[in-house]
Amino acid sequence: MIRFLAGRCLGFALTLAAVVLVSFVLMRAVRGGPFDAERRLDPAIERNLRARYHLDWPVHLQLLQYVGPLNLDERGARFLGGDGSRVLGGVLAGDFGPSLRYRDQTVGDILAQSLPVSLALGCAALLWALTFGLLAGVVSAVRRGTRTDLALRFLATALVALPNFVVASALVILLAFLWPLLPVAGWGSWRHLVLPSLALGAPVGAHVARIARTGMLETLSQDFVRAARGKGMPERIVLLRHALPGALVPVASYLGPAAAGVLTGSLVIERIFAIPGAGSHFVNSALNRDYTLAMGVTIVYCVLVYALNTGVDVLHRVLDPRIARESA
Amino acid sequence: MIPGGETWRRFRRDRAAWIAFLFLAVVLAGSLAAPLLPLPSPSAIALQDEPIPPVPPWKELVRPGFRADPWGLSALDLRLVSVRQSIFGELQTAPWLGTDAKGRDLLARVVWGSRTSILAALAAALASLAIGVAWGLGAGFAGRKVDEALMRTVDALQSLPFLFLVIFLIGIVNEYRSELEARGIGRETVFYLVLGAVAWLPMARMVRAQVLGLRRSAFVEAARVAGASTPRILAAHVLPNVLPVVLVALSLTIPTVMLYEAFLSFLGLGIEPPQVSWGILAADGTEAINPVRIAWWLVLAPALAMGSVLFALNVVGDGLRDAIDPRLRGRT
Repeated sequence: MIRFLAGRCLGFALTLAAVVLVSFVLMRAVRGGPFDAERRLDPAIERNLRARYHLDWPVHLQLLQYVGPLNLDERGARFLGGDGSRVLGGVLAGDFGPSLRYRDQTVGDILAQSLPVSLALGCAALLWALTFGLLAGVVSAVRRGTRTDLALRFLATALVALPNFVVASALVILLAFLWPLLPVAGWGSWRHLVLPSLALGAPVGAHVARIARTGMLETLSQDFVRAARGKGMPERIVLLRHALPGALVPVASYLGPAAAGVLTGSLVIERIFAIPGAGSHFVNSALNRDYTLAMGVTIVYCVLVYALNTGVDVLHRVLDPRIARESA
Repeated sequence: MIPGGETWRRFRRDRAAWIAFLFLAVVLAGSLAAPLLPLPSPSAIALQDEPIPPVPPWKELVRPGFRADPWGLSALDLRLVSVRQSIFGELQTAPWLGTDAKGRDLLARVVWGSRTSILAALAAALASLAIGVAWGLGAGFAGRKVDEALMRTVDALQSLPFLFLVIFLIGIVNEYRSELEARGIGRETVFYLVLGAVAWLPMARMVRAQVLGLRRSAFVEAARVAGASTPRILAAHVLPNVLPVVLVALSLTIPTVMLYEAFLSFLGLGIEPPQVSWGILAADGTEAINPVRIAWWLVLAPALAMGSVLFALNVVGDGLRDAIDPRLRGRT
């Protein structure tokens, strides 16, 4: 297990380094700076701005300044390392630098405000997805071949096929306009959370339902289930105590991709419902050339998804020790 | 295992998959023949301030008024449009699906928008076939060290929230659009390239798994003993047996990439007006939602188009999987 985790961490460090390197070099090599968007600035002001954000340094020093807690301010920039009297931030120290667009805020400030919003939305969506998905999957496996099964499978395939913004518009029309139960958009109370998290969780829930159904069918055909039934156990206990845990293993291994899907989906959902989360900041920053903000969100989300994936793999190994033995 | 007559027969016996397949064929034909159909121009703006609700075809079939404004069409499409004019003249369909707030015909926009989705699917398919198959073959056949290196790369790329990187990349490429356009590389080309670059990962994984199994099979051993070279073994013995897996992987990749296209166009990072895509239509529809007047057709039409095509693709994919390997029936 320790070797597995160490390998995972090493792989992640390499991947993240590659991501940071490539995107950093790309975004600094871009010809148009972030300050020439709307109107021409006074050359002196522009020079000052560029100096403030270290855009006048050579690229490799900018990279060092961005990545590491090194002192590379004006004096130090001449030779690597500086005098060490003041340590600047850097990604490794949890500092993503200033936002190039919201000039009085750092990327850290923006993330601190918006990330909890996105995480609340994502957790709510995952909760919906797991509850409904598991329920639908188990029901449709137990009632295999009946109309209920057919209807649930049809619904699941439809929700997998439809993009979440379509689901979102349908929900808004139904539950906010035609039957005004919930607010159309915005953020503030739990009522604002319901529609966006439902729309965000819908495709994930549909996947969970399909996976749970397959897993459940598989375990229901196993010998130990037949044995349990043969002993005369009540069907409820056979299903819940004997069959369900086996069906949960594939669902657990889907949690990593599910989380990634929810985070990605929130890009659109946050925009539709005007939610001030990290996703909408990210899309705006990509459109507004706010490179530091875009990179900050990308790095944080990469770390989140990677950590979740690794956590799920560990869980998977605990639930099903055969996997660890196979790959060793 | 080669998808030949037997597989095809099994596929046709699967009623749902066969209907979905025919539906997709009709959609494909309609979208390719879009310039020949008597549709209004998808970008002809009528001055008005309200979207027109749908007029069902049994109330009004056609009306005159077609103007051939060249809305950024290729030379071939322009020629097809002139053929259409010589057949149908000024006639065009009535707004069967209604119009949007600018008076553009929704049916025409949905049909023309399907071309974007099909191009995205094509980009994904080509990238999967070119990069994914080669990557998987290499990883599966070239021995343990190469395998490790190649598959670790795939793992690493797949473990990232890829769409974030794609959006980041598109943002950066946008900075260079005038230079790229000067060299004849349009923004759309770049967009399709980026979509293709995301699409090949599942293909590489599935092909590799299949090749690993084949490598130890008796007939590959036999070919090697008979003195066949590695390229020959790959081309003549391994590749034909990988084909079913390739089909299955494509059936998984294509819907995903079509969703990505809609997703990115919805965010304003993909196809840009005056080009049409289902993502853009869905975005227009979402913007048009307001409590005063619900222009439901603006939401429903792109949703139905996207939903039905993706649904059909999923059904065909499932049917294909069952037909190729009947043991897997009902597993996914």
